[in-house]
Amino acid sequence: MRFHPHNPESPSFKKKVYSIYIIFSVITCVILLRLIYLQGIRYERFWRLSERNRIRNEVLYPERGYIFDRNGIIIGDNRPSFDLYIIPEECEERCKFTLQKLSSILNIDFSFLEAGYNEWIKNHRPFEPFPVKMDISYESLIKIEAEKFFLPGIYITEIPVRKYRNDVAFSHLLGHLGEISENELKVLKGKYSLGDIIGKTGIEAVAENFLKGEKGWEQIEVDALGRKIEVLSIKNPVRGSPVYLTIDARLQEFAHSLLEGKRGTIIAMNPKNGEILAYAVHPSFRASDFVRGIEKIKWQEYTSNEKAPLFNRGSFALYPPGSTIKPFFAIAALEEGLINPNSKVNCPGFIWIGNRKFRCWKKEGHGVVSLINAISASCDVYFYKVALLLGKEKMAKYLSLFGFGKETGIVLKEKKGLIPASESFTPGEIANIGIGQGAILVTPIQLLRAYAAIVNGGYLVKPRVIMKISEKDGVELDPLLIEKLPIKEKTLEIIKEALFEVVNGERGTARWLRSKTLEMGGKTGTAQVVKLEKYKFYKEEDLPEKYRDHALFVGFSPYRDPEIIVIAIIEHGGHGSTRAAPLVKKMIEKYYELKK
Amino acid sequence: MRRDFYIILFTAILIAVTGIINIYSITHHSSPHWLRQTVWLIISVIAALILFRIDYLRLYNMKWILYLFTLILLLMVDIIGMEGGGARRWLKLGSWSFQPSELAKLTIIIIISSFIDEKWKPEGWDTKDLIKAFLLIFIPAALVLVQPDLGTAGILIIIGGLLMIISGMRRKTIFYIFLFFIISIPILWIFMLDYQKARIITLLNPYSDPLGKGYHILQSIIAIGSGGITGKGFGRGTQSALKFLPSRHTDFAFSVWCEEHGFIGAVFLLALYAILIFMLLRISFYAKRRFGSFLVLGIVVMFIVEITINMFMVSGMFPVVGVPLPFFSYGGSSLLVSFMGIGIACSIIWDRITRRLVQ
Repeated sequence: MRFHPHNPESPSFKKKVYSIYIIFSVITCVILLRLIYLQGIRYERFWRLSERNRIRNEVLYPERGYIFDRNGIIIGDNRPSFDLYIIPEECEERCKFTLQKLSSILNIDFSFLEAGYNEWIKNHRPFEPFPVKMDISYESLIKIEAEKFFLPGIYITEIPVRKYRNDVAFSHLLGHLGEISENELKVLKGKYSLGDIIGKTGIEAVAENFLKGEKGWEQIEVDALGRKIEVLSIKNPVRGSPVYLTIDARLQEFAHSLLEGKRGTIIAMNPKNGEILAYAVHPSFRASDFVRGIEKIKWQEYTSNEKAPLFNRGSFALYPPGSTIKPFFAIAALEEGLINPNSKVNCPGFIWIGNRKFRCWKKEGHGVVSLINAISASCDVYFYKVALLLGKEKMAKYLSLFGFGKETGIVLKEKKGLIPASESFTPGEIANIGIGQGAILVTPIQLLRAYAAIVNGGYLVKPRVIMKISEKDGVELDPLLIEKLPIKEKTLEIIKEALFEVVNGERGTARWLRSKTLEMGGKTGTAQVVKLEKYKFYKEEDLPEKYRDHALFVGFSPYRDPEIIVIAIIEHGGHGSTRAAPLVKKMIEKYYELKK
Repeated sequence: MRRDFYIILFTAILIAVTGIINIYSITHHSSPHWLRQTVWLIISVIAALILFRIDYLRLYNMKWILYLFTLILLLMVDIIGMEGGGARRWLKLGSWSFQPSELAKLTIIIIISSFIDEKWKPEGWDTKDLIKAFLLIFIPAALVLVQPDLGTAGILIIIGGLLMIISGMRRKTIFYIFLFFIISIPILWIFMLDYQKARIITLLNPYSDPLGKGYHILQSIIAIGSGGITGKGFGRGTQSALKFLPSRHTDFAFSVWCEEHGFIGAVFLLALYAILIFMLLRISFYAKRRFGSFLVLGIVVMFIVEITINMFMVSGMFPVVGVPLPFFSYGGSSLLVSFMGIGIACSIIWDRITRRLVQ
């Protein structure tokens, strides 16, 4: 054995050993410094990270509050929506196979699904579920559950989704839901998060705060793959408060059926307290299209439809009132002492104002008419004269008194309308306003409320839709507001009598609606639509639809103490007496039938 | 003298017992790893005691047999080895498995120490010697590399290389080696596997992909950092208990320890390692033969390299390579080889005790 002697005490060897000492000490110091940094300085951050790593919060969505009609019938509740996802991580290469099977079960084009899936996995982490289809049908759900074993990676969630008693009949009143917009998120910051569904219009929007309920959450312990290990704590979601409407669901549905195939609106109200009993607008939209946020294509379909199914004709459409405005000018003239009930006017079928001939709707004329005759037979000549007597200021004053030209206060989005104001008018234009044409535009709800004020003894009421919320009175949301108008009772009685004559009088424009049991009163109206010269002398039935006049009728019952007042406006319907009045009568009949 | 050995052995056992407690904390729910490690510890301590009694000169005589034996074992692993985590690293014997690449560390230390002894050049190694030494180190390292086990292969080269550098190197040679490394980095980069590249990229910015490739580093850092000063308590490591941490009882055992016992626990463990290293370095002065001194230095270097790489790795200062923390991580082979290292190193003490003369 050749061993080399060696002196471990030699300076050169000592130097080597000491340098190892030093290097090891330096390394130890580096590790210590690193630990001080991680465990001392950054401790809180890492502690938080470790907590978040372990505990995940999952949102539990609440049910939206139920919506009831005045009789406790459920108009809007919830149903479970089953949403189908695939978790790429759990099926890996078998995901394609799962997608293929799902595409045949759900009838979705496989290449479309595959493209969506490929895009998804490029931009998301493998544990993030890829949405295959939202809201799958029960039949699909059963098929999928049955084949679950052969469908690796699928994941089905269940969340509550709004469901309505009738998909179309209540749409314009209840409004529609939709995914929260960025703007709304900013305004309502803190209360909502991205992707939440909120009420966008109608009652759903007005009562959003009550209907929305409270989100719950589930604190779950997960492993690194996001798999649930244990539920640590849970806060159940709270269903939104129920909202009770003044609507009678059955009357509303009946009104909707009356409008089938037409364009227009029927609104029924209790004239004493302004409670809306029915609020039907046609054409309508399918509320179910909106409950998960509307798809772009469907939205475009709605907005490009020329029949404007999203247009709320009840409170947001403006119409010339036509003859339905006449009673208000009669009231104005009586109150101002310009006429008395017995004043007589001869109607030869026309009147000269300046150098222009103004025709009555009845070419041969009404002959000598009193005020009551003038209203019941809707004599134009009489009201040309009344208008000229009143002048612009007084017309505007009384129109404004009856709530025209301003909002009614209904909780829905509404227009103010138009009444003759600052501009100056020629006598011809003034006369035209007298028969509800020209510089006067009203919303159906305005007109209905103004008539209610005539028949209820001079009280202008705010139309109400929300009766109560939960068990407490809903006054703060939709309060009862009644305003006594400074009109003599006698005046109103005369006009009310005239309205009775419209239906029951010999010369009444709606005399074929006469019925002993109903004791109905009302007023017809035909709002002229601007026509081309060549159609001027056509009969109504021969005109192309869009040039036909709008048909209006406001009716109430019973005469002595009216409990229901109904307005029907049929766009391009023709004469109010023939097209709108029968609908009002049917509504009133239905009202009594339901009351029994 | 002999007391030095007992202090070292006691310290090592203390670290190992701490390690077993740590393993128990992590895995007692799922499997009795701690029990297995305890059995390994007993075997290891016996091995250390035997090696301590054996004249270390015998190792010198047996060095080629040992070298050949190691190469055969490594070849066997490559051919019939057991797979785990995408690599063949283990030889299986019943339900027990052994990692020959661990043994290769000791073999390289022995073979290089004797090389230094035989070819000793006071003025420093010449190129011919360096090539010879390099080949001695490279052959087993290459066999480990193909398993593939980049971490252990690297450690074999680093241990052998450092031993050569410590024993004496000309300034010029050091300069050339340095140059060689600089040039070889881009070449190495080209030949590296994708996952190895990814590990290095994510080390530079683990937050870039916290649930992907930066996952291990970030989770380990979170575990350590969330321990704070006093730690979350025994068995309360949320990171580790919930499997956020990969290989948490082997390579990342230190992270778990730091999470559960905080800075105080980490300092305690570091202190034990410092005692171990300083005591071992002292022994190098007892050797009467060059072979003995470098044997001790080699073993010390092995421990330092492993401790450094492992602790740097788990605290996010080094890429993730499979290097266990000696005495502490779960793994019988590593524990056995570490204790064998202690036994061998301490057997040098007999030079002093018996005052055997150098011929």
